[in-house]
Amino acid sequence: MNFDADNLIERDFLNYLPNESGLELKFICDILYLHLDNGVEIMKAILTTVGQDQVGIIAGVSNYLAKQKINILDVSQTIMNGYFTMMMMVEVPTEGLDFTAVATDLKDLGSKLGVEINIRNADLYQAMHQL
Amino acid sequence: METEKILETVRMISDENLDIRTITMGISLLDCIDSDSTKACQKIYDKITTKAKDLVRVGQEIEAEYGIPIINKRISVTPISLIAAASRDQDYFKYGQVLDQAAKAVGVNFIGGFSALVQKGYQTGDETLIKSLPQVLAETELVCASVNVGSTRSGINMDAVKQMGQVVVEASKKDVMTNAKMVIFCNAVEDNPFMAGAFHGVGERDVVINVGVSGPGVVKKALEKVKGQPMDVVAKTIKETAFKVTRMGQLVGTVASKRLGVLFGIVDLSLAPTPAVGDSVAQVLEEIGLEQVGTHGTTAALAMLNDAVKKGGIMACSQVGGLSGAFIPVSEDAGMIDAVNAGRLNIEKLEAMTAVCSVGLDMIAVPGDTPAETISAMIADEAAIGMINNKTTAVRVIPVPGAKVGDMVEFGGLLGHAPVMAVNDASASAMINRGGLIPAPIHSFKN
Repeated sequence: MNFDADNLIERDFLNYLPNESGLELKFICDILYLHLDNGVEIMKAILTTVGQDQVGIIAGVSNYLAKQKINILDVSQTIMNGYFTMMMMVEVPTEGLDFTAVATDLKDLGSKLGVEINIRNADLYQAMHQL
Repeated sequence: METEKILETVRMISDENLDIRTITMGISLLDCIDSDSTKACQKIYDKITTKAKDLVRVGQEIEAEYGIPIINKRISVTPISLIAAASRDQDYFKYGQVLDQAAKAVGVNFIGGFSALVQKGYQTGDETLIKSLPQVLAETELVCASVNVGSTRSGINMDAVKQMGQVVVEASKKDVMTNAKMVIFCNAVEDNPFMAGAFHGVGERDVVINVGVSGPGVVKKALEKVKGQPMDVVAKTIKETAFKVTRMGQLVGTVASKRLGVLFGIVDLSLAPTPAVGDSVAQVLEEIGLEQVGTHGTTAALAMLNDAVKKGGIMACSQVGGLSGAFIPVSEDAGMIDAVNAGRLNIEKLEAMTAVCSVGLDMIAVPGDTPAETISAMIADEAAIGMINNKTTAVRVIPVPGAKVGDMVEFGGLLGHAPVMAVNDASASAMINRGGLIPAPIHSFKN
């Protein structure tokens, strides 16, 4: 369990992606969580991706997050009413990262992939649905 | 968290126009009073630009981080008639200008509080402020004004009612948009975050953050799922939806107040429509089962909607305030405009609706030659409804010079467009010219 997180993102992690396997992703994400939790203040955010299914959506999103050193805590993906629907719980460092730019980048990435991608502070969903 | 719940929130924001309508910072100007108006204005400018310097930036940060639009960032201040009275100036244009400059300096959308509270009578400052209203509204951009002419506790000041009719007419001759920035109230509330009627009451803290939510589109979508079911099911659905919408307001207010280092005041639970498709209170009423808003049954549907919004929202946040209910501005609501154009919604029905909704005759265009006494009489009717029913009522009518009934007037942006509506042509001038005071109703004597 002594991976170098950056190398893992660049090398091993991407190798798993074409399978789009939830189980493998979850495993990898847990490992990333262990290695990226270096004491920097973080914000939990939920990234939602909804749209027409096609090859490379998870790869595209995960690749971008990895480049920004945004850690994925949990992933669920399903086809709902014919639409590809993915939820990711991620950890966003609150220092040294421009969240507005990340949100804009992800929207642009969504346009390229033909899906709608949003990233929002997880508190928003908690506030609305949990007492 | 369940995928379905996350997606519900995403849909509300992306497809159903859910937004935070406003974060409004209330700022007390009581410590800016000075007998020298130049000094007072400098203190006002300094205080506003210090306290609100980060308001817009923090609002934008929250928008980005939580992915929810915050349409307006605004400021409300202590009624200027109280602040300016000590200066004994002959007009308060200078105060209007300084509010405008301060609002522009911090980048907010509007500043409210060029106001006077005259429900029982005038102090020196009130008279001067009311005289200054047409010029201030015409020659400033971001300043909003309000005058409270009545209350359940004190009755209706008919001298003020008469004068405000004249002010509305005079202001309309300077610029058609002036009256969109002015509200005439009965039972005005001191923590209202919505414009044009926001001001910071004298009983409020020095600085406070109030939030106004919105969301008619979300309520309409929720009601589409309970077609044909009994009214109590409709009410329950509205309550549940209002709860969710208000939770979002509570969150945004809490975060904003923490980041600005200012105490959180209230959430105003209002369903505020915009001209955007699917963001209409009228369409909510039609979803309940009216062929078109304005027909018989509209008042009942609106009463239930207004009450259910309050009930749902009240448990969702720490403190509720402001106007909290359903707004029915004509020009800002596509469904209302359609109903007026179809001849199914008139001023008389709108007046009945104001008895059960959260405010009053709002954003209604009337012919430019409507006599001042007739506008005063409309104000008196609304004030009477508010006074007797223990509720806030308001009038924001826009006389449009040269326009005839049926003409369309474009206000632009969130203010939308409005068909010019017919006004009863029989005169009420003999009553209005009596002036004086309508005494407080019997149920005001509760001590």
